Amino acid sequence: MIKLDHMKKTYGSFELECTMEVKPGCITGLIGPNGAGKTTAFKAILHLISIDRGGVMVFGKPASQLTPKDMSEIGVVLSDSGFSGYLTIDDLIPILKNLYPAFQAEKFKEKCNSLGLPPGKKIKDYSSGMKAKLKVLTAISHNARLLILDEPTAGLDVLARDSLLEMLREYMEEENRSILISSHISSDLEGLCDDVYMIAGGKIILHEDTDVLLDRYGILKVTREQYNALDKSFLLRKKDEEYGCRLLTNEKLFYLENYPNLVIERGGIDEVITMMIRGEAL
Amino acid sequence: MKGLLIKDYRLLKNQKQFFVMMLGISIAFGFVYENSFFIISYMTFLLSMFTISTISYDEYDNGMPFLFTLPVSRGLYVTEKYVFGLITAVGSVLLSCSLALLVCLIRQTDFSWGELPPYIFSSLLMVTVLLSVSLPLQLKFGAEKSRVALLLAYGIILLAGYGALLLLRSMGLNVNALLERIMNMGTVFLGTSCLGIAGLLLAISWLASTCILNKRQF
Repeated sequence: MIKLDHMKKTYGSFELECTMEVKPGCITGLIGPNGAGKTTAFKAILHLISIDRGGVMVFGKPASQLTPKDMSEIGVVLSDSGFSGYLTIDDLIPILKNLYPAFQAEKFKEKCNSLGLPPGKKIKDYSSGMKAKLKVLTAISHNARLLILDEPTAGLDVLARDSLLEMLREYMEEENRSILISSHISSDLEGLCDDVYMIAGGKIILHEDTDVLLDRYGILKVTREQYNALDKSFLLRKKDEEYGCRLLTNEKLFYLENYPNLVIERGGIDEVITMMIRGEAL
Repeated sequence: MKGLLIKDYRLLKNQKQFFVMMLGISIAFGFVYENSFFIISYMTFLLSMFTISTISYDEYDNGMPFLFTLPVSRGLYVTEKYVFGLITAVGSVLLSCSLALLVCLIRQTDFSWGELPPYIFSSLLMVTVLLSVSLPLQLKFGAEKSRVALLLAYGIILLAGYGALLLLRSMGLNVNALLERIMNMGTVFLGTSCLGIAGLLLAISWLASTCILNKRQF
């Protein structure tokens, strides 16, 4: 669905270099700290910015050659942009009906109603949570083949986040649909994505299936003596701490079986990305 | 394009208070001024400003990047703005003419139908100039920065016009007589000339706007 091949974009001293892929039927997450290049990558995929080098392919063709028909098959949420705040949901319905041939007006109205979005109120007067809900609803309202969602859960409380993630899971029930999603809330991605790309300083630092990440990655908390005695074959990163050091491994089971006395914690996305960015490569 | 036109029309509804106020002022002008046809130019000019304001609405809260994730090419967005501008201008002319004639009837003012075409054509030409200059600048610099650019652009146009006037006078031509001759050349000539000039201006402006928007990074 999406393929970035050594895509390069430079903004002054910031350089984004990205190679990644979103496969049909998959939900792919992009996670990284603020300023890592996530939004720039999204903008390049949507051809909102030009790229300096490399390639960006969407539906098998360069992003620069996407036609309005192709765009009607993509649902988009941008973290910092949306429909003019001076419009209302009542205004959006005829607009979307005329822009998207497959727009499901009745379903859209029902969903807006069930999520408590007042149809006659200007979007600018919505709370940030309501705006976020409307953005996602709009993206999934026209039978898109691909969703590109930049921070869709930003500003939402736990319950609203959960209902939105449920909507995305429902969306994926139909075959050959894909989602590229970024979020700074790692638990959203852990429970939703098939694979995750971690980005920092404009570079992809890790790509892994979410199951593998959660099952096989782990954090070892060891003293200096324990560290010296460890087999370091499956260690990826090391970070010094007062008690000794924290270690990131992609073979948690190996250490659990061979070093039963070690403190080994689950390697969630947050822990892995922190270690990948702040830890020293081994 | 229909979706975009609906969007702009719906955005215009936000300015209905301004519209009602302008309508009231226009009617008052129609009664106060000796020549009620003045309101044709006045209303057409003000209503055409609405087209420019729709870009500001699009840009509100960084809305432009999202617009180009919709099934809308940049070229189509530009074309829609010009189409919307022309629809608004024609609508404004029709509305203002009706209003002016109504005022004339109420005031029982004598008028000839032949007086109308020069007002209509000059108003449409004025709107064309307004759109042709404003739209590319608005797309290039955005709502805020374009105000300075627009002031500069209109300043340059005024200076160029004044310069041309001085040049014609220095060549010994009576400009007033020349204008009168042009105005008396008949509806067909006036209409064709205005259409030709307007078409040329709009085509140049459309090309510039498309080029500007295609290069713009979001």
